[in-house]
Amino acid sequence: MSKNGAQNGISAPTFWEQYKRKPLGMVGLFIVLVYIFVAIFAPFLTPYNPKQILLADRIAAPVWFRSVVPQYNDAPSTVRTDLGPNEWTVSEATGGKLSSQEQDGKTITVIGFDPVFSGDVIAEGEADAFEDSEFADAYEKEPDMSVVELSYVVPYTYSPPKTFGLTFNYWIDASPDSKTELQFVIETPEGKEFNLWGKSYSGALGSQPARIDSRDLTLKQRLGLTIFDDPAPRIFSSKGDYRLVLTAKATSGEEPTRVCISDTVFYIPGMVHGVLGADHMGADLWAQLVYGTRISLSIGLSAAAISVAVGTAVGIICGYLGGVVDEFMMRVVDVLMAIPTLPILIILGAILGKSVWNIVLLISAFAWMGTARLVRSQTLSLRERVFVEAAKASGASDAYVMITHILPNVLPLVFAGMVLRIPSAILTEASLSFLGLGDPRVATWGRMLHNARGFGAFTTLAWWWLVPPGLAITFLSLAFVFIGNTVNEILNPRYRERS
Amino acid sequence: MALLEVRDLKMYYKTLRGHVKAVDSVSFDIERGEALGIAGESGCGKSSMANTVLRLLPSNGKIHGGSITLDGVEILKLDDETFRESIRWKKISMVFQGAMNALNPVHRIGDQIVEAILTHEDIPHAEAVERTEQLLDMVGINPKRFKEYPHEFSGGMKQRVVIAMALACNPDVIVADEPTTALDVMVQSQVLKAMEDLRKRLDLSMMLITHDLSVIAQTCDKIAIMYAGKIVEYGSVIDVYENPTHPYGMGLVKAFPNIKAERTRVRSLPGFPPNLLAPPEGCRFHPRCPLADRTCMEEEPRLIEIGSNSHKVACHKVDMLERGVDIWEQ
Amino acid sequence: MGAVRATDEERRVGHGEVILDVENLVKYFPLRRGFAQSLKGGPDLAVKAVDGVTFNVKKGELFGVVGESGCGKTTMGRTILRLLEPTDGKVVFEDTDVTALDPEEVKKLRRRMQIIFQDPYESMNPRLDVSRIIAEPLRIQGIVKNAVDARPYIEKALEDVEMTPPEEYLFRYPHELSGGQRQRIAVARALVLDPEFIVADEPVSMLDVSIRGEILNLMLNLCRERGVTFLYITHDLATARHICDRIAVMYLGKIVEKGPTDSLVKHPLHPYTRALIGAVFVPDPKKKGFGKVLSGEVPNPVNPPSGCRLHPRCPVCRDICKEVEPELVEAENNHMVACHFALG
Repeated sequence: MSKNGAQNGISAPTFWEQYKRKPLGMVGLFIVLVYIFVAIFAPFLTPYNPKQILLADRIAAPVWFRSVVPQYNDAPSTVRTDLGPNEWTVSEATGGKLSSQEQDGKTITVIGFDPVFSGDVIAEGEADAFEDSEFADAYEKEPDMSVVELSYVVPYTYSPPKTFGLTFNYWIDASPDSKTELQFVIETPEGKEFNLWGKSYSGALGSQPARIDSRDLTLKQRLGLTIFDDPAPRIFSSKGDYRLVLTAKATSGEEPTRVCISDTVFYIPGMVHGVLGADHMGADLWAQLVYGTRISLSIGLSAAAISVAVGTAVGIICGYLGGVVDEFMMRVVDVLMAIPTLPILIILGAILGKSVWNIVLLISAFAWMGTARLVRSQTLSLRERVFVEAAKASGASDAYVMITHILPNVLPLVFAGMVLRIPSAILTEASLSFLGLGDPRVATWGRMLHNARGFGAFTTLAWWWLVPPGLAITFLSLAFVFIGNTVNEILNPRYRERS
Repeated sequence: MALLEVRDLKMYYKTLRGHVKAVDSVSFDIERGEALGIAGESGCGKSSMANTVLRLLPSNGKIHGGSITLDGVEILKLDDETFRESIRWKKISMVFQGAMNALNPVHRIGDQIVEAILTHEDIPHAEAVERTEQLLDMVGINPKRFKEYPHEFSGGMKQRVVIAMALACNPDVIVADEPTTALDVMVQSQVLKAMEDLRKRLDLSMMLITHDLSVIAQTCDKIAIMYAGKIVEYGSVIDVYENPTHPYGMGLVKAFPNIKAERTRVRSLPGFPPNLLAPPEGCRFHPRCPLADRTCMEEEPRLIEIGSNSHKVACHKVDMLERGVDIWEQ
Repeated sequence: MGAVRATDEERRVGHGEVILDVENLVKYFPLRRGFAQSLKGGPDLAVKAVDGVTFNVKKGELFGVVGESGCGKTTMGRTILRLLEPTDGKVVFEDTDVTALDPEEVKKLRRRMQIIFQDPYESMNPRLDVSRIIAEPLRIQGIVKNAVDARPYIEKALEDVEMTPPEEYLFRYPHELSGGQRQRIAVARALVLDPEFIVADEPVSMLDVSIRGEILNLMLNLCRERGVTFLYITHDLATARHICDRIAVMYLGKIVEKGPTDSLVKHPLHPYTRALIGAVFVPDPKKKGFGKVLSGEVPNPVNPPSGCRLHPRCPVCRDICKEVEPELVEAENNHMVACHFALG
């Protein structure tokens, strides 16, 4: 009867009809679709970029820990404020004023002090005249400084944080005879003041960074604490409104003094953060997981596609042409198959450098041999099929036969093989990344695991860092295995059940 | 009473798309020592019928009715275990197409036959060996080749071994399904000759299934022509070959080229057999039949006796055909 | 067309114009030897599939080649078409020496010489539909560039094989067709290039008896009406008897007898031919009885017997047969036989 017919050609609708009946295949397909959805809509699923750091304290817990784990009830979320000219409130201003200026695309806070016009003009001619007068004393004394005080209120409603920080850059435009003093103070709701930072300068000053970190020794000394004390819990010990006060004092010279401040960031890292917490750099783990889907899927698909394409081409050419080419390529395949893949990949990865595409190429380079053998053996039998001889009898060239007759007939085999190769590519990439050979610039699941291992997820029992990428890899691989097996069952009669 | 009586046998294969009515109300008799040939196109259900009689059906093949009596015993009612122990091999044995490839390549020919005897009969090993040597001799193989392996035998010789095996337990009926189809003409002739000699000597009954009408003409007493799961013509080979009366039987007999005849145009029957999932209404042959009319499309013809010698035909147009009109004249 | 149309009688006596001349054609398949065997040395072994075959086919003739499996008839058909490279010998098709052509010329030759295969289930790529199967030779030969150009050729080919209306079959896949229909498609594929010569390799042996006639008659019509020359390769002497003009009988890579069909079938001269005819069963229960057949089976073609290859099985074998290989000589009018005692 028509056994032959049934085994061979299978049209797309029939394929789908059969596929629909396999529950495991459908589960696999569903899971993969979910992953694809996540990969495509990654930017809508997380507000963060996986590379953004300092979003929270190192190894911050997920935010939902607050309602689940008692000791996280009041745990601080990240407080982070960029303080520009619009955020500051001027709480005192004598002889100076707050203004803003655009420079290099940044908005810079400028505190401008008036120049001492009268004094200068008078001093020029009359200083000597009044040398001995009572006024001279007045002149000898320090002139009164102009003061501008900027303040900003930070509401803080959590339990005491572990650390906090304040960073900004500043510079001073002034004439050499001027004097300037700058000071940063935090005022607690109780009215207590902590003088965090203060500097005074004469004349102009180039751009300087100020990095105030609660863990700094100098800060601890300045606040009169021992090195074993933590300033952060002391300062933010209660809930309420804290005031950040920046005071600038200046005596201007001939030129007006301008104190410029940019990139001012006040930062209390949260101990809870986002859906899945944060890593050792305070980067969002959920964002890494979600964006990692893109990388893992594209690495898996492209490595599988490349390796299968290479394997199919080699298999068809070797199987069809035979002879020396075949003999040589098959020995190459034997050698490559005998080499343990992972160590070689580690060495080559280290030599070639860490980039995602290098990894894809490396994985493909060591994954095509199985396909090549499978396709070759299939080709060996296909090339003896009568329809190939029929094409030759019409004058067909080898290339024509390979493309028109062999290729379409090995595709089902190859297709199932390709689906099954995706999880192994994903796993290989994950292993390489886990071993630290991944691309450091992209967040992959393997890299997440690598970081988790290297930066204390095990010691701090931060399972929310370890488990999600592990599960993501497992489920995606499993889904592809389900799909691959189902496709195999349908397309490749060896596996087909009798109905 | 005939040795093997099959009445109204129905066997359907269950598939995803419905029942395939491979054997549909088939009845025939085989007397002791008689050979019945069953002919038909591929897919007409002839092999399915052999498998039904031997109860060698795949899991989706089910007997939906009818009876098979062997020597007065209703064997359809036996349970599988009893059937396997007391009927198959012992009473009814079989030779299949390509059965020679079923020989185990790593065991000696003789041992395989001895094994077959010992599984069915409780006799000493030495006796089984002796009988095996006799059997080999009977099918025309030198008993000295007892210790050889299957690969040392040619295709025809292997088929003889398989026949010897089928005869190992002195069966009453032998079912041969295309026993020589894969063999060359000359070997086919040798094997069939050996089979015929044996059959005559042992007074065996045979059910020979083949598409080759010339084989049936040479080896059988009666013939049943099957079409789409049904017997459409049944009778002695002389009657059926001399005077084929069903349009299909007539077409088939005339389509068979005869080397001894003068050069003629080779006949054929236009069209192809129906899909047994949904066979045509009425007479199943009507879409291919040049005589078909309304009755044929609506009413299923019964197998009725015409003339003498139990020559039976299932056709509404019997009267027209009995006059010897050649309806396939092109 | 008129020029090639000769009467049966003309063909039978061999006055037709020769279209294919096969001279001493040899095809050996070398056996791959194991490492141990190659160390031992000794002569290279080969399967002597075709071992010096000489015959010719006349224009518009249906020439039959009959033999049991393994006699080399299929290999010979393939070698004539250069689907296999001959080991030795010459094949001249009209004025072209087929054996001396380079690959580009062989490709051109394919338009003139085509083949129909045995298994209609195997000879078509199951993933192509009928229109693409038939269009394939046209595309390969660069006669058409696209499906639209190919359409008239395909429809004509389908009409030629009596599959009408063509539209009904164009987009079906092989598995949707019956065996007979598939074989018609295979014939259509061979016809679409309008060849002068077609090798039909067991075109009906996989088909049911009831439809063999369709294909055989189709071939006969093409031969008689369009003047296509056929080389009909078969194991079935009964069908060859009814459609062929001349028949050659092969045994172990050699032609043992050839001649006009009637003469060969009615008065076989070679013991092998006689046995072959005797082995064919007659579908007539009144003429019961097994003909005299040869004992044993065909020997291994790696080591064919010395002298006459039939001698170990031959009922009339004498000493000379074991040593001297008989030549193919004309015994009667156009009836050639290779046997030392054929005439006796």
